[in-house]
Amino acid sequence: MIRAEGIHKSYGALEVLKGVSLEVEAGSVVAMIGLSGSGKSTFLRCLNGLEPFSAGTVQVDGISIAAGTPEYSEALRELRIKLGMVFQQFQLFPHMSVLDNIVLAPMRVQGKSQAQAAEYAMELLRRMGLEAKAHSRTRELSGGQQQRVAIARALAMKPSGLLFDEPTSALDPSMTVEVASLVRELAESGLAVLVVTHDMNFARRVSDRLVVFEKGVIVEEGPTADLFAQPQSIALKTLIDPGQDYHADPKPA
Amino acid sequence: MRHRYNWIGLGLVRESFALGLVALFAVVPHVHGDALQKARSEGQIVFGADMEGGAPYFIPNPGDTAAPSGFEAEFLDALGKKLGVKPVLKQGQWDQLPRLLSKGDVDFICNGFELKPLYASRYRSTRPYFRYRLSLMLPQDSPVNSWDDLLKVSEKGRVPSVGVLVNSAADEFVTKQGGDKIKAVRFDGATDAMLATRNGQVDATLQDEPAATYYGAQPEFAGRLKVAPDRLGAGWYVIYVRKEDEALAGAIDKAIDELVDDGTLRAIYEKYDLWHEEQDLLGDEALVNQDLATNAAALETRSPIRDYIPMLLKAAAMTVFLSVTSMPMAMAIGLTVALGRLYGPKLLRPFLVIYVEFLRGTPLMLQLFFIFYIVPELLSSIGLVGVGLPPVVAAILALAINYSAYEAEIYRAGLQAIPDGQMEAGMALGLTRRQTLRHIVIPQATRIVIPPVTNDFIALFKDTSVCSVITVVELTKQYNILANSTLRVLEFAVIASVLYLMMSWPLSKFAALYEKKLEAEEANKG
Repeated sequence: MIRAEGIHKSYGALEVLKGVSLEVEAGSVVAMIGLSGSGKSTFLRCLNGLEPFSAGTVQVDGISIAAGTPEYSEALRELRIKLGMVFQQFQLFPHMSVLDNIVLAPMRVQGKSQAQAAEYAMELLRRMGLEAKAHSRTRELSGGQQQRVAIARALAMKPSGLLFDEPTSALDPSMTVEVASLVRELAESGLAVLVVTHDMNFARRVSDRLVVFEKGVIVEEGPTADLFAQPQSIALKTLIDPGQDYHADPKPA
Repeated sequence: MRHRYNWIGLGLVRESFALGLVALFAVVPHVHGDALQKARSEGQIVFGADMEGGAPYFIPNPGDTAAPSGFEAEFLDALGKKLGVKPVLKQGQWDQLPRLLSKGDVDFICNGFELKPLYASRYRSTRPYFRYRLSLMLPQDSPVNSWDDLLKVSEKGRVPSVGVLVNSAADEFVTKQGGDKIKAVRFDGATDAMLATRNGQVDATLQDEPAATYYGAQPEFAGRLKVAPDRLGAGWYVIYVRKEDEALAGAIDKAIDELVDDGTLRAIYEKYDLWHEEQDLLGDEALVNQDLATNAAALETRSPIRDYIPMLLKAAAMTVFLSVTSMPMAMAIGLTVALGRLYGPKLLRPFLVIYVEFLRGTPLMLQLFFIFYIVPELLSSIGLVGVGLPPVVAAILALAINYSAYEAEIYRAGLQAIPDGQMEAGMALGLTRRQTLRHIVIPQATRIVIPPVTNDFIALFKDTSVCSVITVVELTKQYNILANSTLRVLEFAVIASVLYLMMSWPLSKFAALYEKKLEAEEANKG
C-alpha cells in the first residue's frame, strides 16, 4: 500500500503542492489526472524522494519518510526499493545490455550475486516477452520494448508499489490498450500502482480509482466508472470534453 | 538533446607548438654585402648575445635596457670605438646564437664563445679577447672539493651529476673527461645549473670562471655554494664572424690587438676581478696564431647520421614515457576535479574553479620552473634542505597537474552531457549518488570524452618538449643538442619530426575512428 499524507511543496513563493493526501491499495490501480502544470508529476516524484517536499509523510509498506529526510538516509533507500518507478522516457542505461540494466540494482543495492540476479531478471524478461533481447543493447529495442525493460528493471527489486509517469506519452497511440492491460496485470499480481497521465482514454481503461488534480490540490476522487459517468469538478469536465466552456456557468449572482 | 562534440577543439589549439619548433630551423641562405662597410654607413653593428643569466658578461641595466654593463659589454664598447661603429645587442638563446649568425640576423657573435674546431671551421674566428678557465661550484656543505673528489665518488658506485650550460666548454669537458664516471646534466642557462646545485638536484656545476666568480658572490648563492680552488680546462674566447665578412673580421682582429696592447682590456678585466696571470697569454702572438690555425684547420670529423639514431630513439622513448605516465594522472585528477565541481560540497567548488583557471591561465613552462626550482627553495626556507625533485619526476608532475585542468573541463562537459534522468533512474532504484555516478554516469561520460581526451593526449605528447627547460632530455632537446653541436640542423630536424609523427599519427587515427563510431551510434539512436 502507498500512502501519502499532507504533502506540501513550494518553489520559492510558488506553492505547487498544497497538502496532498492519497492512498493506493495493494492490487489496485489509481490514475492521477490533471492538466499539465497541475503538479501531478511533481507529486509523483515526491513519493520516492526524487523531489524534496516541505511537509507531509510518505509510507510504503511500513517504511515511511517525512519532509526533510536526507538524500542519503537508509529509510529513503528502503522506500525506493519498495517503490519502483517507470519514467516517461524510460531512462534505460544505454551503455549496458538489457540484462545488465535489470541486474544492476539487485546486485549493488541488495547485494545479490550475479547468478541470482540474472536468474530472476530472465524470469521477468520471459514475463515481458523479451527473453530473446536479454543481451541486446537498449537502443536496439522499440519504444514499447524499452518500456517493458524499464518495468522489468523496477520489478527486479521486488517492490510492493509501482509509479508510472505518463506511460503512454512516449509511445505510439496504438499501444495504449496493450500498456493498459500490462499495468492491470501488474496490479492483479498484488502491486499498488499509481499512474500519472493526461490520456483520459488510458486512465479510463487502466484504473480502479481516479484522482483529479488541479493547481496542487486534489479536487475530485472516486471509482473511475463513477467519475466518468458523473464528473463534478470543472477540471474533470474539461479533461473529459475540452470543447465546452464550463466556467460560463449561468449561476445568478 | 543530441550531443555535439564541438569542444574537441580545446586540445587542438596547442597542437602545432612543438612540431613547429622542430621544422622552423631550415637554413635560409642569406645574401650579404660587405658587413663592415654597411655597419660604417649605418653607424652601428648588430651582434648576438644572451642576457639571460648572462652576468658578468652582460648585466642588464634597469635604467637603460639598450645599454647593459658587464665585461663583454665594456669590451665591445671599446671595440666599437676602434671600429667607429656602435655595437647593438640582439638577444638570442645562447646555444642558438651561431644559427642567428648563419642566417644573417647578426653580423658577429660575442658571448663567451670558445675557440673550437666546430665553429672555427664553420665561421671566421677573430683573435681571442679573453683567456677562460673553468670553475667547479658545489653545495657549501658538500664533502667534495675538486674534480678528483667527484671521480672518487664515482669509484664508490654512484655516478655523480654535474650541471653544465648546454654545448659550452664545460659541457665538452664533463662529457669528455667525465666519460661514464660523471654524468653531464645540460641546462639552457648557467644560473639554472647553479640553482639546481644549490637545491641538491645535481652534485656540482662546472662553470666558466667569470660566471662562477660573479654569481658565487650574489646573495642567492653566497654561503650556500662554494667554488672549488682548482681551475679546470683553459681556452680562448673569440668573436665569430661569417667567413665572407673578411674585412669585418680583419678590422676586429686589429682592434683587439690594440686593446690588448694599450691595456684597455686589462683595465676592464681588473674592474670585474677577472684578471689572472694566464690573461697575459693574450699577448703571446705565436701561441694565439698557432691555436687559431689548428682550430680553423681541424678536419670536421663527421659521424654518419645513423650513428646518432640510437640517441634520438632513446630521447623519443623518454617523450613516450613522460606522456604515458603523466596523462593517466592528469585524467584521474581531472575527473576528480570535475566531480567535485559538479557534485562536491558547495564550499569546495570555488577552490576547484580557481584550480582550473589558474592552471589553464599560466604557461606550462612557468609551472615546470616552479615545481623544479622554486618548490625546493620554499622547502629549504622551512628547513627541508636538498629535497628537490629529480627532473623527470618534476616533469611528470607538472604535465599531470597542467593537463588535469584541461581534462577537468572535458570531463565536466562530458558529465553534463548525460541527462539528469539517468541520475534519477539510478537513485530511484535505490543506488546511492556515488554508486549512480560510478556505474551509470561516469561510464557514459567516459565514452563521450574519449575523442577530446585523445586529442589532449596528442597535445601533451608534444608539450613534453617544454620539459627540456628542466634538463629532461626528450626528443626536442636531443634534437637541439645534436643540431647545435654538429650544426647539422636540417637533417636532425627531419628525423625528429618524422619520429614525432610516427608516434602521434596512430593516436590521431584512433581518435578519428572512435569519433566516427560514436557518431554512427548516435545516428542509430534516432
